[in-house]
Amino acid sequence: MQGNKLYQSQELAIKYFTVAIILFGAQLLFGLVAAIQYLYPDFLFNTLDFSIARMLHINALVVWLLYAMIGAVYWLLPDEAGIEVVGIKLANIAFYILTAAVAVVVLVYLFVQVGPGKESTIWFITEGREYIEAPRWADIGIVAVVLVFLYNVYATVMRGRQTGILTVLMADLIALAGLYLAGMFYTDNIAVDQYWWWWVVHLWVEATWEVYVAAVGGYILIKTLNANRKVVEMWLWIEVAMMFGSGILGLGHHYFWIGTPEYWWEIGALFSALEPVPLIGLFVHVLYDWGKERGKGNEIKNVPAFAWLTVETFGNFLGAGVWGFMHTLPQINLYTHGTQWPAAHGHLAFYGAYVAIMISAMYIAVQGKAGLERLKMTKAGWWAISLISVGVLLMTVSLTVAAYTQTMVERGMHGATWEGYFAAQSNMWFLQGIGWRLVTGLAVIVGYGFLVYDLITCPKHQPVEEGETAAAAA
Amino acid sequence: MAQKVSVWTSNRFWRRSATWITGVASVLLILLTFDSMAQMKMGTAEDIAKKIDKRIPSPLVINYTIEYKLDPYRGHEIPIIGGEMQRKEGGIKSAYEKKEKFFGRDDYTEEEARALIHKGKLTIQAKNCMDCHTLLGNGAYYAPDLTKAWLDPTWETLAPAFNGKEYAMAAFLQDPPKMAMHERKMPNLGITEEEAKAVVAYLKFMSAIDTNGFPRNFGKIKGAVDARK
Amino acid sequence: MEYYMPDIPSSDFLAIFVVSALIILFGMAYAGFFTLVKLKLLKRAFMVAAYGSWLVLVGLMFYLGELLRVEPYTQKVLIGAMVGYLIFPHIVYFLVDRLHERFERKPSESQ
Repeated sequence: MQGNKLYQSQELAIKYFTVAIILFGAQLLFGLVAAIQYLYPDFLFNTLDFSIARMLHINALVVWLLYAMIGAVYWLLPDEAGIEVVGIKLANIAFYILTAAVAVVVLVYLFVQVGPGKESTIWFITEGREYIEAPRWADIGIVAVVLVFLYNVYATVMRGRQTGILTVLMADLIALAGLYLAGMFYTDNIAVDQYWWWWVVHLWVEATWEVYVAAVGGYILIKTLNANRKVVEMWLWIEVAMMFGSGILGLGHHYFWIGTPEYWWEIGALFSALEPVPLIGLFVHVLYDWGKERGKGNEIKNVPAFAWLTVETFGNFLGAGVWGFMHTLPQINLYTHGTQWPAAHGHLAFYGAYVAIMISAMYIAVQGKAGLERLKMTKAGWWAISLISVGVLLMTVSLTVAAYTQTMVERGMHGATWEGYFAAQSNMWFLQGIGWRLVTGLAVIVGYGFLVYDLITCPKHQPVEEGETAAAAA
Repeated sequence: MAQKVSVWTSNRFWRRSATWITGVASVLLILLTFDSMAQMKMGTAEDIAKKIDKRIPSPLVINYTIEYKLDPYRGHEIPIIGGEMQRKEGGIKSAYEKKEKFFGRDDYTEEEARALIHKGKLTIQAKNCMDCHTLLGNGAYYAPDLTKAWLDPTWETLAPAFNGKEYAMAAFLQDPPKMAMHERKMPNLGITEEEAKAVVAYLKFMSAIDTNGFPRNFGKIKGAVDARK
Repeated sequence: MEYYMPDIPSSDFLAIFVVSALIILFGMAYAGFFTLVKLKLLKRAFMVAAYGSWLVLVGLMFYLGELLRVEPYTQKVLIGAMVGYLIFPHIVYFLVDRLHERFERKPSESQ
């Protein structure tokens, strides 16, 4: 990095991060509305119904993570390649187009909400397919913007330095973008619809996003711990082998009950049982590094980024590994599919695997923008990471209580009917779980407040130690 | 570094391994997808005439009775369309014989039936059903699963007052708060009569999809026959 | 095709969830103890804890197989997989160790 003079691409990254953090706030806000509606169904009834709040909750999540992911690439790309990003003007235009499109889509979600049962609704209002509700016109816009992004990445790497991290990213991003196309068509056959829908959702979050995180995580390790690049890059290939080796066919665990052939039971069970393996591999490596570095007196150059990366390791392991395996085998999934189990698992897994590392990347950018040699943790930063992490963990535990109750009452005792569904929803244990979810959600929102404050102000509020000034730029 | 580089620390080795593993997994997935797509193709009138079971049957199933029964051969419930018959290998299968009036008719042509479920699926997407309900178990968890909604005992209890459960379901969809069954009401989404009919057709069609026995024991434990002992 | 999914009584659900979670946690405990002992951050005696965790893991996996009513053949595959897992932390440690040894003898060249 050249003092605090940033590449234009890094300026663009900060714009992406800014929109991302705003959308993160929106995600929490609509999540809060939905959580309240679980307890008080009349809250905002007919104004902002659960379906709309929940749709905005999950769409904001996906979109802000994508913004942060694109931002992180624009941040590290010139740094890794050693040159300014090629086609940066185009990239800036694409950013404004994308943001305008997102704004329009959100306004339509909020104020039009639903449309008549016609093709025009699919094109202009909502596609009504969980996570990828964005109407078709927006899909096409997203594809156009992503093509610009891919052009930036490929053209820059070809002209600049081609590091191992960039090689992995290049391959991964093209797969990630290509998979989106699998979610861009309409069919009357709901089983086929969901089959391809999972290609987007699963092959994003359990394959290509994981590999993206491994690559960006490697970059953050180099930046924060001065980790050896050769070690990081070779390990990255090992992780890619394990993640794609288990994750691609792990897709099978979504194909147990949607009208698919039975052989997916075996394939899904086997490969989704293997999915924790890369997480354990990562864990051993982290432990190894920690053990070897201990006592060497090596300074962490960016404490908040490193702390969030640590949260990532454990959160991913717990959320994806432990909570995933609890309900992934077909014998038990038969009773947990379509209950609060996936909700419990999803909250911790998304947080651990993706949210934490994107915040870590944001702190790298904060440090770079301020031009600080070292970034330390402030009080607000500690509050943010503690409140959000503990909040999400306890939220997951609360949802697990609700999920267990629902499985027992609705699926075990009442035979999965409407009556059984509502018997479970009114069960005292279920309601308590949902109640605690709301409380923990509030803790996360307070933590979010600290996070935003800290991201903006932490370079100015660095705890000063003897004989050093905070503004010691490189 | 004079010594020979071990293969275990060779960047090239691992890069190639990662590429090969990814490639093999992707090729396997694509081959399996070809097979699954063939098996998941929507059935036709011809299949019904020949009594061929399809995982996703022809929309013509709206002309027939639909049940959800334990097949001892497969070890889980399967949709039984138009009455049951013995399967050659053992267990039971659909007979595609017993008809049932659906909105007063049991002679929908394949074209009419397809048009109905086309409209139904569009409406289901246009009204964001999946952001409260689950369909085939996927979606949000704020409202009941709709996979077998057509077969839900609740509708049987409402059916007599409406002259048939399809009318009850259509009436509910057009003004859900009026017929609210729980404090957690479904909002009025402006579903027209035509759309409501199409959605009910879709729900009936969806209940005939072979979901490998999901949901298990549907309607079998409380208030209905205990099918498995 | 012989696909048969036996019924699981709801009284077994809790055990299944707990055992599944413990399987992953003991899998991690085995890898964790093993790595820490190898790094000499724990006394050698703790290797007993590592392999002890693995034994518990095998027991839990067997129990899970019973709870899920898997066929005898699948049960054997599960235990076979656990034997495979026995070597996994060894492999990862070996790789990581070699890797660091090879690249970190020279002064860091990462930047």
